[in-house]
Amino acid sequence: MTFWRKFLNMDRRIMWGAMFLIVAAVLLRPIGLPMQIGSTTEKFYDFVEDIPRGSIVWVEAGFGAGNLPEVGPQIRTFLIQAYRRDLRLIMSSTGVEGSQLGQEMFEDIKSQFFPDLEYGVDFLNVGYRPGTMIYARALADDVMSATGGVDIFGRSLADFPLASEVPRLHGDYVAVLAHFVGHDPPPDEWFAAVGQPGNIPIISGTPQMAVPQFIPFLEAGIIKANIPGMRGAAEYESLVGVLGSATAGQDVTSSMVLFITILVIMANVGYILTRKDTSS
Amino acid sequence: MLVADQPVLGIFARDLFPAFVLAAAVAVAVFFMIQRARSGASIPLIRRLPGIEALEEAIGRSTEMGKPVHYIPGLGDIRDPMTIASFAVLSFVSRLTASYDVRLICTNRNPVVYAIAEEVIRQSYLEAGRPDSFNPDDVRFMSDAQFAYCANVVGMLVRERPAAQILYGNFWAESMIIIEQGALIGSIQIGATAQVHQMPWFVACCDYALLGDEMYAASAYLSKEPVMTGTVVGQDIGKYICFVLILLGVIMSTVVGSNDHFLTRWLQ
Amino acid sequence: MTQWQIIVAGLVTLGLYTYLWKDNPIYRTIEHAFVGFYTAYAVAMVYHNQVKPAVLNDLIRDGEAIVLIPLILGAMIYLRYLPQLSWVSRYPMSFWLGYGAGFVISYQIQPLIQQIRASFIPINSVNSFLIVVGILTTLMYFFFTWTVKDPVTHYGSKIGRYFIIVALGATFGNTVIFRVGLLMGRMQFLLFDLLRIGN
Repeated sequence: MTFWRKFLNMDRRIMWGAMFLIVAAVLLRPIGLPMQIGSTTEKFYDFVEDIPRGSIVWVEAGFGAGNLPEVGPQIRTFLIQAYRRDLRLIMSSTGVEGSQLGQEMFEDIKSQFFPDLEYGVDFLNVGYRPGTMIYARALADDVMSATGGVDIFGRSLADFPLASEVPRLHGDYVAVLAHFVGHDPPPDEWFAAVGQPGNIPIISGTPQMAVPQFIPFLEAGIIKANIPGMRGAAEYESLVGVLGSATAGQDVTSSMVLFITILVIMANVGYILTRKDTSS
Repeated sequence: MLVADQPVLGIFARDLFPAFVLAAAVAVAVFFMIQRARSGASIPLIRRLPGIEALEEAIGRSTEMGKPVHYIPGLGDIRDPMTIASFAVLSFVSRLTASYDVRLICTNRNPVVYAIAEEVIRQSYLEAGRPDSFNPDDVRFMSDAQFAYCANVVGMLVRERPAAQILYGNFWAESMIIIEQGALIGSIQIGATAQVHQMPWFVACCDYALLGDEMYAASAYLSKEPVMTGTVVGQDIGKYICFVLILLGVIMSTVVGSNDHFLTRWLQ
Repeated sequence: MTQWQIIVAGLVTLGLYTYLWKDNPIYRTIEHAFVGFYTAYAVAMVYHNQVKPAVLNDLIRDGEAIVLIPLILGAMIYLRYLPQLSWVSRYPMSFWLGYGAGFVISYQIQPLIQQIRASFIPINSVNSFLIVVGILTTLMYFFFTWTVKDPVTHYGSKIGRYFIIVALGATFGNTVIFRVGLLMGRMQFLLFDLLRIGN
């Protein structure tokens, strides 16, 4: 039983070291495990494909730096798919970091893929506003009033043609609400504040952690489609045909899940064996 | 179909009628139960909640060890029902820490929650007859950013080494890091949240965990006040209504062979 | 990001990871700097995106006097730092609490109705049977006043407890994958952007 006791009392720094090594090794030497496209991601892709060309999509980028590895590739790939379909996007954020991160992503994909995109015509960022759902509700009434009439850079929204096409967040002006939020505010609140009264379908991208919370919303039709976590982001990248950081991370996720599963099984076996040992 | 934009009499949105009925039924049930409890009539008892009973034990342990108690009212904002439920428990905890004369550290992520938490604790110390023991510096606003808050709390745990840690409210990804650190410094930990994706960590790493609705019932269980108890009993009636609705809906769907029937259409 | 920005970000990440060995001055310095920087950033964002447009555009330019109400309410909170006037700060706090409770009621019930409707599943397979049993027994577990020890409620809530445990296990797995994603994101940055190895 000495081995199991030593294993259970192992210095956790050894485990962390092993994790770092596995992640680094698999990132540098990818295994190339096969990936199947899940139905939920495919539904998201198809939903965006079905949005009429030229429509305006409202993007809520309420995520933070902590969600960037998962939600970042989702929103980046979404921007690419949306601009391939000539959609026009207005971005808002109920999280402090999301507006700046979203702006950087737009600049990034503009320089890489779509140099002709024009700020104010194809994309508009109204920036961060506090108040979460009360702000969302205000957007449903009057975008100008809710945002104070300025964009993320403090410039007047009246100067941008895209802003004049959306006087309020309503299905008459906006085709879809794309919800990329770490976890809060959840889509059911957007649904109640904006989606249902404004008749706007909601689609979302979430970190893996929030997937169990989002599945009931998907089943209930509160959200129409969802990209689940890093795996969903990798599937989405594959569907759109832009391989990015999520695809590169698939091998890492699989290797780490295997490693952690082995640890969990060994810890449970060790616990049972040493417990018997102690009681005898 | 009429939509929310065309309300009847200017105030009733027809497609929100089922929601109105459900809300009204629960409101009536809560009102009725509160009235019964106030008049001394019998109302159903609330079942045991071991996590709540452990609060006193955790604070007692801190007193014996001469170390502080750390309380987090969650990371949610003031519109969050978990945060609102947390204030009742914070009031109970701070009354106990005041009467045991043990230090209470309350860390906050939301500035408005921070202001209210400070008022709650100040009031409890006043009620316990120890207003001088209240130290405003122990109610701290750490940071509005999730992981900046988390880094700051972890640092505080290492430096202050509280003997008991109570996490009561809405938590996100930072909860595991905080609970892990609490376990490393040997704190007794009580966790309560209705945030589905954080519950596993609370169950796995805390000494006691209150899940989902249990955290809302706890404040009534603690206070035994008629208003609180009547509210929980009234809410239970709301759950019975949902239970019966779901059961009826499933039976009708099974008989019809699809979910296209009267009840689904009514709830549309 | 410029090369210098990448170096600073990389050093900060590595500095935070030193905590995994043990608490040390490098971690503490970064922890406090992070809190300070973020607070300054949040204040600047709120000022430029909310306060400035509300005061300059709405109040001064457009003369919307109604903006004065939230401004005064907000300013009242700061009176808590003046012992003689701290009672005034309770009014905006009462407003916040009332708003919070009212908001939840008005925006939570409709999604609940949607979810009740989505639970009307015809039982025609093992999966649908399990879903229905899971929903009903889990609801039973959260009945706090049902103390009568009849077999239906007693065993119902017990079965519900097992469904909750299974759901928590699934959630645990999802959360582990999320953490792996966080670690991987930082490792990609350290290896590919900072050290420029591989990729």
